[in-house]
Amino acid sequence: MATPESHDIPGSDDAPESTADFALQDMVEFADNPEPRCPCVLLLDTSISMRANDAIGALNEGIQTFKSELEKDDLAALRVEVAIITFGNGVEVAQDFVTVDQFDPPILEANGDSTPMSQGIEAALDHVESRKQRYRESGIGYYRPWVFMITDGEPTGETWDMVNAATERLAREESDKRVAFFAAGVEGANMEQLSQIVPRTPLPLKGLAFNELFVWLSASMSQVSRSRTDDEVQLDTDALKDWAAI
Amino acid sequence: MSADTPSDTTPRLHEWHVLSASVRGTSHIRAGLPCQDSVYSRADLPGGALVAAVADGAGSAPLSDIGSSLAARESVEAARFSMLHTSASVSEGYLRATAHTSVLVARSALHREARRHGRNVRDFATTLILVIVADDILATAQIGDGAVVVSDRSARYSLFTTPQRGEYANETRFLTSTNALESLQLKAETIDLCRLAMFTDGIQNLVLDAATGTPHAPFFTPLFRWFESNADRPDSASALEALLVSPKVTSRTDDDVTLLLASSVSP
Repeated sequence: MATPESHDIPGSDDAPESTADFALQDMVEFADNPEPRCPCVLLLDTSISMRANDAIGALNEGIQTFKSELEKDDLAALRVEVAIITFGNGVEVAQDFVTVDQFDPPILEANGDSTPMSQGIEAALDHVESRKQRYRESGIGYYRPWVFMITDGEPTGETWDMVNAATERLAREESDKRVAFFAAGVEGANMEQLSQIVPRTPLPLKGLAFNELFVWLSASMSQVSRSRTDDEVQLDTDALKDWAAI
Repeated sequence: MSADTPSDTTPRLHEWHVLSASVRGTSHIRAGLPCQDSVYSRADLPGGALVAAVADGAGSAPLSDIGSSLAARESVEAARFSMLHTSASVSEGYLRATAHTSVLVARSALHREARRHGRNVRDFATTLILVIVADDILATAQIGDGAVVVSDRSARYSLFTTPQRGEYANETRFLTSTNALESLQLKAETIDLCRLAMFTDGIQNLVLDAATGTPHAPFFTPLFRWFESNADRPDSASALEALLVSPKVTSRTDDDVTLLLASSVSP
């Protein structure tokens, strides 16, 4: 198929008469709409136990990998917006939503004396909802937001009522397709309790395979950012095995 | 009133010039996927009627290139057959019903094809937009995204059908979805129709203004001006193709792109 770069070779006999197409490309102007956005929240456990085996160090490296992998994909780089929320020392928005070009991953420290997981979940869902509101106000299309939680523990320092409320809200928002919420457990995580809190089966991380996890997450976001579907995006289960003990 | 303006009672005899191109997106080229978009049209009906369809096969469905091609062809041929053999006079109601039936025919064709291959019909998932133009009536049937843009003789462009999507930018409906017919968008109106463009999702964000949901005039106005003065050139189809694979397009979308232009305006 002819591309506009394929200029006719002078003297070539079969060179097509292509004055019309060059003119056409110069004549029309396209609408300068903003790209639809694909929001992704990393919801990360920064309780002090994440220091074990320097899990937090591996996590920080993994986030750098996430950025560099997303940068390799032009379309994903325009569409994916990353935010980071930590739970450990209370709940903090360590990084508000940014596209990849403006994403300068903060170095996270594991110094929290508790694991306020349910407050983290609530904060992530709130954050996603207010982002959607912003998109709607600005006339920007968007994809179903992803929240990816990583923890090595279980909720501590919060009441059962808080945990139950977050669990119920998460179940509701998942079934209404308002968010896709994934969870990975680092060694030491209470996987049984985690599976009662999050609707999708939480996956145990293989060792400290954070790099593999974030390569997979980036590939998944690339896929989501160009998907078109009347249903769920299919996850790449083969690449999932690179980081998840399944 | 000028001499060539039709009276209210005499339908204008349109002569439609049609030009279309359907090109493979860069992501499909990278992944070795075929072009999953299809376009099909017939302008050889008595009285200058036009029947045309575009269809966009789902990227996730392995046989959606067959699905879109079958859906476009079957729906157009079904509408054409009906119009050739009916004794009913052309009316909004008749064309609307014909558009509706033709979509059902296309849907059955996909189910039949799926059975023949021993596959799930979802493997052929595709959107479909069908237009029928006869006299001064435009009838459309649409499942999924993409849109139909029309203009009157003063070249005011407006959306005749709107892209169908849910809350999320990537949500759409397919002809093969279980609840597809619930989301079928049917419309028939008598309008001052001089130009018509229909396109798939791939180029939607480049030719409609998102904030207002209206056709982007700096795209359509010069495009049709070019088309109407070059309609008879043998290389006009390749010129349109070249536009759709130009960096202006491919820097903004890596999806397949299909665009059909029809004009009854003589140069």
